[in-house]
Amino acid sequence: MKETIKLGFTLFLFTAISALILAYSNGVTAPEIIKVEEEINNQARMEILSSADAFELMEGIDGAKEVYKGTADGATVGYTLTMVTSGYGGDMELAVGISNDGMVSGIKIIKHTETPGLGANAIKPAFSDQYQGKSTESVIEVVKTPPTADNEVQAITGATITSRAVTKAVNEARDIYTSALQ
Amino acid sequence: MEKNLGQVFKNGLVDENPTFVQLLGMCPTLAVTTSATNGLAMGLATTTVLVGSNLVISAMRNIIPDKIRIPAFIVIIATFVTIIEMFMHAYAIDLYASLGLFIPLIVVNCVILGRAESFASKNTAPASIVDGLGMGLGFAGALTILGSIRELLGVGSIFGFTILGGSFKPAIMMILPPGAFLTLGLLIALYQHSKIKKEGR
Repeated sequence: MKETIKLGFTLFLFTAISALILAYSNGVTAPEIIKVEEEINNQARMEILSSADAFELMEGIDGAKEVYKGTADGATVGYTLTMVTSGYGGDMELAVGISNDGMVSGIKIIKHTETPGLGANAIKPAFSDQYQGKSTESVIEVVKTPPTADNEVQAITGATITSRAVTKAVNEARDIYTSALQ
Repeated sequence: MEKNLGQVFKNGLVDENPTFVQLLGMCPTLAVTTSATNGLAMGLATTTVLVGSNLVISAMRNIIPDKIRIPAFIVIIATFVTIIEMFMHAYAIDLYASLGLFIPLIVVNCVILGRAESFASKNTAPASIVDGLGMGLGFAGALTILGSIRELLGVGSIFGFTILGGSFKPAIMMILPPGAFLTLGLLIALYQHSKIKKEGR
């Protein structure tokens, strides 16, 4: 009995010291992590809506994780919508930029856990640049051969599920734009 | 107990290679070796944690009661991994972006617990550091080889550089789970074969 208490107490000491060290490390790193993440998201927004020079978070829009209004000299030039979609390897997070003229100005995949060499190729410009200049008026379709119509994008070889997931997210962003933002 | 440090190092790297001989840490081995870069990165991250946890555990080996050594080891390892993850996230975001997925996996890597239990808890701190380095690099080497082969056959490149281009048609299966089992099985067979030959049997 006495030994059990002693062992339990020793283990408690170990975990308590660990907790202290972790709490301290967390205190040091948490503000930095928020700053770094913010920076990355901001950079992504800049990339996909390059005409804007400032971004402002918009509240009360359903369907997207975050919606930012992009402005240049105070005038609205477009929006960026952060969408979550489920890919082949789990949730994917991507930002979709839509400019005021109703065109997709770019997309950027922020987080993903797709198969390297297959679905992970979605982050490459060869695939993601296909969405640039797509109109918000028609549904974007995935095809397996080189696209023949304006609203088609070519799927990544061997990663149709990933291609469809990204396209679905862009289409949802389109819907939000046409129904709530335009 | 004095040990020849060179021997300890070689022991981890070759004689008792964690992947090819001890078959430890199979989960990360099979899961992350879809490319040479991933294999190397996971191997090096594991080495860092292994050296650190071996050092702390060997330094504290006399104050950790025998009966609760396993939970104590796990607490130490998990603390180590979490700290590394937090600092990497805050100060080395590029590295974190490419490794982030693997870091929590290190906690459950049995190579680390295995070395804590069978080496660090019985040896001095310097020997434990060398053991961590040897085992870690042995693990990293094995993962890099595995990743290179799978990437070469499955995508046609190594470390992202295209090697087999043009008419080569990549075998996508190699970067999917079956490719991991096939490659690992064949590599272990090859390793054992050369070992038996060397011993002159």
